Amino acid sequence: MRTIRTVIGHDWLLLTRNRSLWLLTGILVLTWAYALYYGQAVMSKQHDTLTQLETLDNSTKTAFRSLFQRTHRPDTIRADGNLLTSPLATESYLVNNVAVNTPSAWAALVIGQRDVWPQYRKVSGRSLFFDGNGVVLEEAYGEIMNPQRLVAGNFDWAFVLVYLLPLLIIALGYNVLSQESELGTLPLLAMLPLPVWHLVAWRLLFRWSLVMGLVSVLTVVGLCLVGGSPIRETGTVIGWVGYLTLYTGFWFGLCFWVAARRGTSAMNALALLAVWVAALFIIPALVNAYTTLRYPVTNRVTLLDGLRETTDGLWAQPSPLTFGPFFAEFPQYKKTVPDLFTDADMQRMATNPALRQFYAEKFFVWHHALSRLVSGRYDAYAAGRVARYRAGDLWRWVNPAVTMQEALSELAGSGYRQHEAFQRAVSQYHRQVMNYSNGLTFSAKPLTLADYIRYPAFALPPPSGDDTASAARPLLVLSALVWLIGWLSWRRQTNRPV
Amino acid sequence: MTTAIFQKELRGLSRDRRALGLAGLVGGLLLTAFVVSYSQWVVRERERASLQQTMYHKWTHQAAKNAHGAAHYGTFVFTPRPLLSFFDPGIVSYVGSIIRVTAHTQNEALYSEAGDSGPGARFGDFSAALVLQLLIPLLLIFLGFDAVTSEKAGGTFGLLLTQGVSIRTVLWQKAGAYSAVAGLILLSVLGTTGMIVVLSPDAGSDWPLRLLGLGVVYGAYYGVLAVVTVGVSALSRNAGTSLLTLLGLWLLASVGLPKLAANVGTVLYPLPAKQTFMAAIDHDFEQGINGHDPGSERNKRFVSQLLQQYKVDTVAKLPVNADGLLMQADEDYRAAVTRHHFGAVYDQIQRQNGVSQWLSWVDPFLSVRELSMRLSGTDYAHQVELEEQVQTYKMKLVRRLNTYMATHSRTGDWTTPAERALFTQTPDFRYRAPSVGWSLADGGLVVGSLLGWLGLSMAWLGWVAKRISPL
Repeated sequence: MRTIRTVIGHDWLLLTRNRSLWLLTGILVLTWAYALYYGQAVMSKQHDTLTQLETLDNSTKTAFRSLFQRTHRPDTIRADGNLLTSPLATESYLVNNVAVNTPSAWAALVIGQRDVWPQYRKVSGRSLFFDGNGVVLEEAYGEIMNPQRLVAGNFDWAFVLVYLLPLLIIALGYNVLSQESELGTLPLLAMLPLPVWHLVAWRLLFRWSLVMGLVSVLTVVGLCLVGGSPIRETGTVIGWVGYLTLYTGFWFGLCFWVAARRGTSAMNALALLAVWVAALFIIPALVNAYTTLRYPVTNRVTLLDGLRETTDGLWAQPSPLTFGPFFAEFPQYKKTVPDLFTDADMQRMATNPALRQFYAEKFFVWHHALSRLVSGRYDAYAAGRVARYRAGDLWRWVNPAVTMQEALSELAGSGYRQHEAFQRAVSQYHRQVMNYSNGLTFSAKPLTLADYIRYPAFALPPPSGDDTASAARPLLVLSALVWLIGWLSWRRQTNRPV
Repeated sequence: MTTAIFQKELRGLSRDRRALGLAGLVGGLLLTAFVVSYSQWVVRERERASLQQTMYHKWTHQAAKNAHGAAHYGTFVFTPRPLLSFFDPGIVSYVGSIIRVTAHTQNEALYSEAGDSGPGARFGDFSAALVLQLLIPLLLIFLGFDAVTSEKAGGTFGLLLTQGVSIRTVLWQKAGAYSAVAGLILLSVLGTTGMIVVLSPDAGSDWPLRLLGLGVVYGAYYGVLAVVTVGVSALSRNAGTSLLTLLGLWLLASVGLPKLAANVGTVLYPLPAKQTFMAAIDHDFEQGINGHDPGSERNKRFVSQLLQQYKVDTVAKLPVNADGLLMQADEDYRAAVTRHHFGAVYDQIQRQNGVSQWLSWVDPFLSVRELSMRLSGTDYAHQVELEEQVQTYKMKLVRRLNTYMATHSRTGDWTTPAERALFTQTPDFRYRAPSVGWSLADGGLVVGSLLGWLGLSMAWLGWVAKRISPL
């Protein structure tokens, strides 16, 4: 134990006297500061956009309710020609109703794909595929982005950890033994009462703990600076540090393995950098190529075309074709409906107060029919997209950098699982809103303020632990594997002279 | 002047197992890049052509309907990928692949590859450009970091100088040898690219000029890198310092600054939120003609002008369908509004990209990346040009339909179906790729910076030659 303490003490002296390492550490801290600033700027903008949308939604609903209360005349006609008590007025009430995927404080540390994927969706009693301007899929809610900036990528804390931190580790570990050989001090070390590989392992473990201490502190401080609370989110902090331990362990394990090969410092550096290039650029790019070739999203065109074909002339369909399936799904609303669908019928429905109730019913049934008619195509499209999102999972065992990026993204709520969860929650919420709107419409009674207030509100369920922990196993195996191979390499040369 | 050092350097590299191994690795990666990226291009283009054909067939064989109804029914344009995107995909994975063509709205290109992918997509596409921009520079660094330090350490540097060769000549010939290695790889890459282009359909006519341009751009970049590598090696005390310095510069130039430049551009020239952008367009739409709101004052004035123009007192006596003309007036107005708003966003994005172009005077990698995308037709300007061509196509299509409605029916008639020929004789969308001159126009800043870097690095090597000592 005393020898190990001596080795570590000596290593500490070596490290603290190395000006290059101080420089690299300084660069790491600087990049941390910039990454925080940048991540916070991007997420603040996203946060502001989502807040503005929610504020707009709230003010629309408040104005609507106050109109209801102020006039004491629920039969007031709104600008759109509908009575406040008419089911169609609910569309005005919900015109700015949004379901938002609000970023957590962690998202400023790892932006992930949050700048590409839409973070909100307007939801009303209409079909989810048809807004006031026509056919729409969720991508239409994506923000305006500069594609050249997207190519360059985000300079967030995750980028520093995934791309740059391995370089610091390589700088710390490439010459952990070769330097001793080159300085002629290895024979002296060989006189210590412990094998050389123990010496190398202890040195690397010591350096690993220093790196982990530094990046853990930077992460926690960073989280505080971007408005998060490490105490409230202890679980996420532990998960983050756990993933960092595995990822940095992989790179230190590589250093251990390379040291066992007893090459020169330059050769060690070259070998480690080659792995870095492969892990950060070549393997991810190859996996991306595999994904695009194996999982083309062609069924989206089928969906879009289906939406176009379905909406074309759907309003003019005879009532049995639209109301029939609707009543089959909601037998509680079943009744006899007139078969009004020609242009002349439309005119009559718009102007004849007695027919306006039927007009409202036809409106919501139309949207129900649209959703129903394209649901098969939508399911195929959604399944294809999920398969594509998950295509990279197959390659996690050889793709540590992307696995780490995905792990941090999932922890921060910026990953695809969170995005999928948001999409599922939106679909579920939409069903609630649609069912509620249908109930109000087919009750055929004047709507009250309470009917409006009881409209369902959107809630995004918290991410599941399974999602956030799914990347742990491949990283653990990869990390353990390189240490094991390194250990076997050392075992093979126990009799080699120093 | 003798080229003995140049030849000796090349001979040394050809005998160096490390160099041969690295060159073999790069060669293997390039081959993989070509196979993978060209396969992606072929699959994508086949799929696009098939979908385009299907949609065109649907358009020409659509059910009988009123001409303006057909404009609402609309069609889709599937954005073509430039052939050279297999060489440098640029932004193609980050821009939409489908544009809806329909009356009253200008639809943006939606549904990008990146949007359909997980976070791994942000690690980049595998292509020859990735290898040329990131890995060949690393290869040059690995080959040349000890170009001078090893001579000094082995004591051969002084010996060389005693043969009457100047330090300047030694450095130049070493830089020349590394440039030659990079040049050889570059030639083989461009040769392979040329062969693929020749064998591909729709290669266009200006691809030789584009390949020539790519050769000049990458050649100049490798010249800068070879010179800097040898210069740093000459100034370094040992191989380790030289390697660390060069790798630090590579990391800064190829990974750090490109991200920083793009991020700074975003901060300096922010883009509007989509909601605000759409609200502004909707606001402006409300200030003009809305063809589907017959009761509005503007529409009444429009009809009144028509009556005056045709010298009749009721719309029934008009020889044209006023609704068709109203729809076209609506279309023209909305097109002007959207052009104004979309144009403002395009300009802002170009300002963001301008930051990277200015910073190319600090980092030549930014010049190379920009010029490579321009010459491959995969930069932002090409995307804007494509979307504008789609918008022009859409305007012609809708005008044709509205004019037909105006001239083949009477006001109030929204039901008479158009003749089938109106649909069958509609031309399909065809993208006209801009010329190489268009691609490079206004690229003076980045071309200048690359040439500036080449000139300055050469001058710097001359300064290094004067500064270092023979021992």
